Amino acid sequence: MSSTSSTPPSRLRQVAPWVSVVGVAAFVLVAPALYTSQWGGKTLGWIVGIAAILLAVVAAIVAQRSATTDVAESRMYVHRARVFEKIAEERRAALDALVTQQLPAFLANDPVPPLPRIDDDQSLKRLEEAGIALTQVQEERVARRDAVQVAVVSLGRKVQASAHRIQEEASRMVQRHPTDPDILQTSMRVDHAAAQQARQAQSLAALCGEWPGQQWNEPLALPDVVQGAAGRITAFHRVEVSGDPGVAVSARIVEPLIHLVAELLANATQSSPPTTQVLVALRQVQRGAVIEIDDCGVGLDAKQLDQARDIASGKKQVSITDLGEIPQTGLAVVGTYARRHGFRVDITESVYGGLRAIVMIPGELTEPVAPSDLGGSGGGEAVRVPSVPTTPSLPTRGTSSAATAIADVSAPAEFSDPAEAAEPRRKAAEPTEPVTPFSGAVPAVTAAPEAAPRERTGSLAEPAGLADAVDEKESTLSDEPWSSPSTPPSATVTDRPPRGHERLEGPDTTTTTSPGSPAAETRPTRRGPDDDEFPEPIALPQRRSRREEAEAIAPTVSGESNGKHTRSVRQQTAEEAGQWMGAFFSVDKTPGNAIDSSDPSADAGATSEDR
Amino acid sequence: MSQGDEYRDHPVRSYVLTSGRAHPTRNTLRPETLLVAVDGRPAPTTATRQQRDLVRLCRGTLALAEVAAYLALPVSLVAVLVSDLVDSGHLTIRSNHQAHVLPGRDILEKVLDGLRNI
Repeated sequence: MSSTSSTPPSRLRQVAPWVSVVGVAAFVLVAPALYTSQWGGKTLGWIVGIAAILLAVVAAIVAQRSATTDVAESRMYVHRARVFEKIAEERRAALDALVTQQLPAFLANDPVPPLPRIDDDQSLKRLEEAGIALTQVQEERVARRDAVQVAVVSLGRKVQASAHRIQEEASRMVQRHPTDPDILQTSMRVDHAAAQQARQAQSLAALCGEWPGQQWNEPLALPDVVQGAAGRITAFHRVEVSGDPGVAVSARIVEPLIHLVAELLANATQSSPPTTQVLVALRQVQRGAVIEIDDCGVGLDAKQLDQARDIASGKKQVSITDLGEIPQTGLAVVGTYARRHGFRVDITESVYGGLRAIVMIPGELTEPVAPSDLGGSGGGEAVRVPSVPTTPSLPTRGTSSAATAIADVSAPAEFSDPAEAAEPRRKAAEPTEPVTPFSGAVPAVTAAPEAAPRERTGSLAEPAGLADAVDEKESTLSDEPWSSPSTPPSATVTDRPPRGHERLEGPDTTTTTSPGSPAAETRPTRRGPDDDEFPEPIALPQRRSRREEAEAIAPTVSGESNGKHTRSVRQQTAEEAGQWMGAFFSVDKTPGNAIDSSDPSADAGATSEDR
Repeated sequence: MSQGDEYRDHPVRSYVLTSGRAHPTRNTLRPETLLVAVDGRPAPTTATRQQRDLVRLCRGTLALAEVAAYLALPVSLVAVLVSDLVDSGHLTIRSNHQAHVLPGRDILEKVLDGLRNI
């Protein structure tokens, strides 16, 4: 091994034995000749013999010495070889670590594990360089991802804020026309559509790890939480709540919990036949409160169920970057909230065949329901808090709340202009986009995702009616924005009661027609805009008295009744007479009956007296 | 909600309370209609909190508009809730004037016939 590389000693070593052999052979050849020669050969023979022996001895010594150095050298080479092997081994280990651990960790955005120790300075330096480059790339990537997330969150907030604004306007619309069921119907549809929009936008923020974007100031009873959640999904009428354990959830988790339950309900309604109900059971347990959501679908297979369970319980984190092409945000949002607030979420097979989602709210996040003083709406009423100040979405929210503030301080006349001017336009766009998910509580035959088309057909005739209402409203708005809040646009007295047979019965007979949703089924889906209105266009429930407005309106009401709705004039006449008489008598009686009752009825007397 | 112009939001939206219905099953309800709870009939077990509150409120005679104000809900919405409860026999409408004020049955039937013939 060593002879290949080391030239001089090995050659000497190879030559030396031959030299000694040649020396001995020469002596053997020369010695007889010397002994036999006559001229003093004896001494010469000794000399030659000694020389030959010396030569052999020297050659042997040289050979031996070169051999020892050779051995030493070969040992050294072996040693060096081992050292190199070790270095190579370390390099290979480092490379392995780089490829098998660091790079995947880097790709998965996990913290990069350290490299194994390495003695070789040169490769250490290289590796360090590579590591630095790697972390740089990773930092850049994180920065870019954060930037994208911030942008997504702020866009989501904008959408959410505008959705809340739509809801607010819808509510205001009902406030302005408190007795008009058609307005209420329209407002409900707008509100419902906007609520779903707000939920989707809120899911974005939640997946980016942000807080929900709205919050409530008071604890909310558990049934109200579920109802609030039901209001944010498409098929809200399929949600059936049972049980009222008398538990409320703390104010700070009201919104997260509503959103969480809404996502679970959305999943449940979407994955079960549209004719089935989604059953929600509420109960109190030792460690808190439990919401159980059962659907009657077909469930999932074991593997999918495990995946779903991991995501929903928060065990497996799913961020917005992991959603992929067909984003399924529901369970991911659930998991996010579960992780952040300590809800325990589990998904199991339901006894009904579908899935059962169980949400456990820990005891420290619940509190007993505060006894409602007058049987009020059970608390939980709160003003929406403006969204995060860091996001650029604030301006919209801010201006809206600023507008509200102005409206609160000043007379209603001032705020009515810009808000309402914008509103009818939005509303005008609404009928053309017929996602109107409630045309009664009748469960449909098609699947839930296709529920929208179904309702589309159900309410085909509606847009015309809506457009009518809009037109009316726009006209009144453009004419006199001030008095519009108290003139219901359909104040034209078109008193056609919804169902003739009920009208025949006395007003105070307790007819036990089926209440609740069965009643809704029997109702005709198609109603003209001027069909079921409250007989009396009194601007009552604004508890604040507006006597002067009512005075201003009173003449126009009777005038309009002739002007508009010419096609319904004929049937108004007889009917109207009865209603007007009723109105007159109610004016006479009401103050007497309701002496103890406060403002509204007194106002009622006042306003109707003003006619 | 009906108190002034201040916008008070509530997590439970109005359409959930009535499962999407905006039109009451009775057309005789007006803001000043007086309501009384029927004694001895507890609210049904399936009643929502709002319905229970409503029945509780009406133990004394109360006008529809007042109920709406207490519940902080729009009058038209409360009308739907109230008419459901009247249908189920938990509330009665206290109105002693309308019986003799309203036009007679024959007139109403004529009107109804006229309406059907349109």
